[in-house]
Amino acid sequence: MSINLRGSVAIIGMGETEVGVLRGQGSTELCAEAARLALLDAGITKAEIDGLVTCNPWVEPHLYHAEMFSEYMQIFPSFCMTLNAGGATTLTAVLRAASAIVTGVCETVLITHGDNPRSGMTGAETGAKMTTTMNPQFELPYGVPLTNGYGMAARAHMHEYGTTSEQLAQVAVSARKHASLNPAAEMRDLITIGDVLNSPVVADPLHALDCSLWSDGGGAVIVVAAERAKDFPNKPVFFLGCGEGHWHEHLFQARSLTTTAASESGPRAFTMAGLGPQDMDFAQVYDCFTPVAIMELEDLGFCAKGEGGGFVENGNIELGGTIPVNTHGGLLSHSHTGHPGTMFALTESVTQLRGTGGDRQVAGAEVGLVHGQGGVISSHSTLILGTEATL
Amino acid sequence: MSNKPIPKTTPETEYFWSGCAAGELRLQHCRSCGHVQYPARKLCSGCFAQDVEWRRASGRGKVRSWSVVVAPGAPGFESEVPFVSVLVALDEGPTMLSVLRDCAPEAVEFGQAVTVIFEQRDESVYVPYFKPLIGE
Ligand SMILES: [Zn+2]
Repeated sequence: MSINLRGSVAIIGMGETEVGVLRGQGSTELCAEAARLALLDAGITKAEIDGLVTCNPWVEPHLYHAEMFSEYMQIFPSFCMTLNAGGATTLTAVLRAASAIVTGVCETVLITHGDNPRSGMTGAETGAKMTTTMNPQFELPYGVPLTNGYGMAARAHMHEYGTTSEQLAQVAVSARKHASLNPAAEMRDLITIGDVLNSPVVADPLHALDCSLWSDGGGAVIVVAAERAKDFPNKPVFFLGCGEGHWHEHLFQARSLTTTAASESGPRAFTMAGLGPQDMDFAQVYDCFTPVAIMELEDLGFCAKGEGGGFVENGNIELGGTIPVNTHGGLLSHSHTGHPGTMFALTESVTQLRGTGGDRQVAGAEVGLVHGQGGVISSHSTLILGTEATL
Repeated sequence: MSNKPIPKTTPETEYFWSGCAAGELRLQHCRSCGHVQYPARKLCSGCFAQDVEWRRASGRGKVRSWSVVVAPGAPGFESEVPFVSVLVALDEGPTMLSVLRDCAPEAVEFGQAVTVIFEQRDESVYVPYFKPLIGE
């Protein structure tokens, strides 16, 4: 049996908290605030929520997080789950919400994430938490941080395809340009390729400005069946396709250092949507480090494998270019809130398809792609969304 | 000795770590399909046969990629920075994360031949590191 999820559900509400340094606001509180804002946006009450999907934050984690959060919110769902695929979590949540709605398990799903790793943890606590992502026998004993894992993947891509440090830097420069147009972004002052190359080397070949921010914040969306989509005050955004790819957890077990499982999640999402990369009006990719965005643009098919370095040059991934990428500023310049990071790429996509992106609006945006990645180029999820016109 | 992390062994990996303490790198070979695997498992991850045997590995491999660590990701390494984190493709097939000793960061090369060495971590635990393979 096969059920086509294309066009089956829609996002009818979204919420974003402030991002950055939010002293005095805990993870659960941010998760709740995002949820409250999403309900207000959707014009519904909590009594209507019968599906709940959360992710475990770094600060205030709970073994059974979604159950804890339903108790905290006094919501009593028939579908309740905590997901844990790092930066891929948000979009795997959308796929599970769609599946639950289509199969009649529930009707109105709240997906909400919040965390405050920036101000809720000391540097030592953050370092200790980071090491829990490492293999305790075969990685941790070497004292090699996660950032150097990305450094090794970046170096392999540069060696194999001739990608340059300037091209990596361009990803950060373009992200900052978009963030400068977004009042909600954390870092809005324009930067140059020289600024990136002159920032300290933190895990060579990666400079400090090749690395994403570290932020507090939360975001949420509400998903319902497509036939109910017009019963709410804001323009609905429809689910057109979603796909995942999971190849490894630890980098030393990766099948490739330069090709990611986005090369599977992307085609799966495009096949479901009946669309291809050339049809996208924007793409929000996972830019925890600049080389990851380049690899994903290749693996998702926006350019040929190995040509991502050249592809990001000359404003090609900026507003007005071939494919505007990370129109909110991405993890590099909007915020990186940890596991909830991809939620802001999702809410930005909803904003773009509603046509309410203000100065950063992609003119006439009807269909777009969001991509999430967890671990060290490990888990990948791709979601394609569109307006009613694309159904 | 130091406050560096001690590998948390499991029943499946004890023989690997006892090999390191004895100065040899040990890998599992599947008798059924020939797959060589690291880390150790009771079953073969290639064909799921429960028929894997331990063999002493050559200890040699090639540099697949590397990155210089200036800010260690665990306690105990502060005095060693900068050091070279490395992914080594072992001659037998599997890749290991490790650290390259006796090689200046600017001297590392893709495909560079390396060989295993063992560094004592506590009374009984030795951790596999690598150094350049010279003159062969
Ligand atoms: Zn086998």
